[in-house]
Amino acid sequence: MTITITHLYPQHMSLYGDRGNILALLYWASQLNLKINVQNCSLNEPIDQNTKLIMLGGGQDHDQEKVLKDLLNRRNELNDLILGGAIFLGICGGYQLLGEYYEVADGKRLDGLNLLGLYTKKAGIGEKRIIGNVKAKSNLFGLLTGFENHGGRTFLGRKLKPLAQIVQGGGNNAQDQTEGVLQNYGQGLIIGTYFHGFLPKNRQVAQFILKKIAQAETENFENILENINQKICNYLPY
Amino acid sequence: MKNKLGFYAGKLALTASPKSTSAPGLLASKIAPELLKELFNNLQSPVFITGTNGKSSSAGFLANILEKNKQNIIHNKSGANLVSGLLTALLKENNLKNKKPILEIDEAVLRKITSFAPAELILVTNFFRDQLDRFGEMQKTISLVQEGLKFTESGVLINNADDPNTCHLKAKNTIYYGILPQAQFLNSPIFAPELANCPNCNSDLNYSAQWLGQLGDFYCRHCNYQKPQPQVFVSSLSLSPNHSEAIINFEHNSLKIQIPLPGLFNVYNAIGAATSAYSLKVPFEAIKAGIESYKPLFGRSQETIYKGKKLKIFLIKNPIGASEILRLIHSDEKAKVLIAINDNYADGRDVSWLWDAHFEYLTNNKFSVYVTGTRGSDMAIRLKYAGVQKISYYKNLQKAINNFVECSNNYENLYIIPTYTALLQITQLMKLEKN
Repeated sequence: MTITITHLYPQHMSLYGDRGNILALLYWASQLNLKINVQNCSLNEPIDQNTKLIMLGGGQDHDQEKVLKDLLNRRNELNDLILGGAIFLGICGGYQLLGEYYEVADGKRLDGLNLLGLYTKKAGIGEKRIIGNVKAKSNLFGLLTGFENHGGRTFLGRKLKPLAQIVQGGGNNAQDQTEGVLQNYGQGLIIGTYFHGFLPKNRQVAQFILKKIAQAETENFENILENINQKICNYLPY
Repeated sequence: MKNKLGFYAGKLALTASPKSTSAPGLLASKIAPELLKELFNNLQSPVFITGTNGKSSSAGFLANILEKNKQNIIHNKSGANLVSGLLTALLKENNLKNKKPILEIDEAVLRKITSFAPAELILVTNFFRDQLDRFGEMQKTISLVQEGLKFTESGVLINNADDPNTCHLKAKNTIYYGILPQAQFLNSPIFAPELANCPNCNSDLNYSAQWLGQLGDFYCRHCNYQKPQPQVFVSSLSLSPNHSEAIINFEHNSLKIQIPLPGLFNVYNAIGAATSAYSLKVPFEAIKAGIESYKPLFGRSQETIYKGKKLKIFLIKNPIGASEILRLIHSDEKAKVLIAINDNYADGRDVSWLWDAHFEYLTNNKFSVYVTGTRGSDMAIRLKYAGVQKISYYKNLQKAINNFVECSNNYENLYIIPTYTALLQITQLMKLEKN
């Protein structure tokens, strides 16, 4: 049984090594003897309806504007896929696009997918781009590490829960100590984060995702995983 | 008065530490912000080399060509290419009168200098994704350099015809150089987001061939933006692990040249320099001699001896450059590799780019891949996910290099690929060993 995952706009929206997330999933899948088929989905190309995961990375402003129309056209389709059980992983720009709107550097306000009640404002006067190593604590995943590099400030609506609480770094907006978003969505799940190197550096999340999308496929998931994790070279911090 | 003070302060600082590449200039410019401008008044119209990759080697080739042509030049050989570095290079000269500056220059600094020193020639190498934490986005880099394109009356832009990003630059006089698609080349399997967009209309670019990142035979279906016909081009090319052979066609002549450094990226550096020299009316014999006798700078394809073992050192700093070097290493089946990744300011703080470089070239490497640097652990994890089986990780750079060299046999070819500040550490280490 092959599991399909979708990388949305890999050419335009993978600015800061975002495809590392796909590579991490492929690595852990191979360790677990799971077969994964990665569908690269560019402008005007159909999304495989069997997809179990949709990943959207970040791009330069003009790239994001370029894919925006195509993305918004897919809004209902994405909504149905996630409601039906798919996981949506949005990194940086891909996270911002989940919300109601986002402001680009010149102040223009652009519509987002409006799947979640969050929005992103551009950096205010005197506010700097948020760049650096970042650590955050999550109830579900423990300590998460990554690198953040964004100008926009993201704010979550009242009903939403952040992915984690910031320990070091700026996170969503360098104000409220939150980072990302984690939201059950029908049968599915939405994860948004500013962390680059998210799945590579936080293998527990990669494994969590695989477990969720491969549940029906693999027996003894936990046993296999434990075996593998024991074999990991312990000098690697991630 | 201020300028005099700054000048002598800088000179003094240089006497105190003659090997400094930036500090004396930094001091001098703090005291006398206008000093650089005054010094440029003594010089001939300058030649600048800018772009993302290959500035140092292109400038090195060109300086060597002009020296073979017996011209009196000033060259910032150290690669220090900010205002402080340029000023230091000028302060090092005893007599500036009528010398010709051949200066590599940072993409963001160019406009500051040409605002008072219009160029006789500006050579642009390429625009790759690099240090996004510093410049932000690619469009920004392009517009910074465009602002810096200020020329003398007959000044010329030497532009890379194969790079859709640099070709967007506009100047009154342009000479393009490139590699013709008929030339023998390797198609590149590398993932490169740079090639996605037409810099003119932002539609997706199309390629009939693509060989080094976004460099290739590009065209835009939407607005007809396309690769310009280069006046100077490589019509025949053979690459081997230590050097390349190329036939370069100039408008009415052609020249067979052996490029003493490996890799397609060095072919570009050589033809960029050759095209610049041609535009400066240097005779062909000097162009050929200057390229063929070029000795690389430390860490730029340079071969060196450490603890009795031969080493090749290649600086890496962004996905495209790194992938090209990995491609080169991949072609050598006796290659044994050490990678040193730092994340200091000069390296770029963001090492996410490691995920966009094609480290999969090392997947079937016979030997253990050594990894070190302040971000060695990020590198190790990247290799792990690339499927590399044997990884030797060291926190300590010196220990890593010593073990790497000591645990090697004579039949292995040793390659070190460091980021910029890791390269500086390695330079220091090797100096200590020599003394």
